[in-house]
Amino acid sequence: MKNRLKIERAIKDLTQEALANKIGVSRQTINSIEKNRYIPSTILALKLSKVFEKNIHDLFELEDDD
Amino acid sequence: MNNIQKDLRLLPTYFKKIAFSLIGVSILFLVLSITKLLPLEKELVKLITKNTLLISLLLLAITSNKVEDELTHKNRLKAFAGAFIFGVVFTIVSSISNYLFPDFSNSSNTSTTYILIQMFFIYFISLYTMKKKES
Repeated sequence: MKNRLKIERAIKDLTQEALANKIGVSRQTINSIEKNRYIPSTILALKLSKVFEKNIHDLFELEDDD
Repeated sequence: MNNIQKDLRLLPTYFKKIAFSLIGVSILFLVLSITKLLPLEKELVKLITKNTLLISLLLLAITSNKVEDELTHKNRLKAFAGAFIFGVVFTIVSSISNYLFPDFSNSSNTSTTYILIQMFFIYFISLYTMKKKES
């Protein structure tokens, strides 16, 4: 699954730490999601979409092998 | 307490302080006994130190981090699985080696504590490694 988290974070001028604090997770979790090493749960994805004021489909996109 | 903490029934973070205090007390107890400042039977000292250490390690393993999220949850499960697999493999290997080399075998009680302590260390090392990899 691809995601635009890093881009959206840059647009909002948020550090990984600041974003992590906003949604109550660790900085490592944000880093892992951005590097596609971890796929977040629905709850976490919804929290991210709320922070970035975007639809989930604008943040996450399925790939052919998913 | 968040949902993750409720899911895994983890203890609050302050239990880490209790666990480290217990480790400190058991080390102090051991030192006092070795230096004969506390006149106690060797077996009793061994029993108390061993059990206190096991309780401390268990407390450390089931206490939540400051930030406990779904990734930590996943890592904990992976680390528990790794430690459990290690425990099973170690038990099988040591029972075979005890059968083949009976002269070198230890008492079963000592081996149980030894395996448990090693399992805890595998768990902590796995958790630490995963956290470092994600940084």
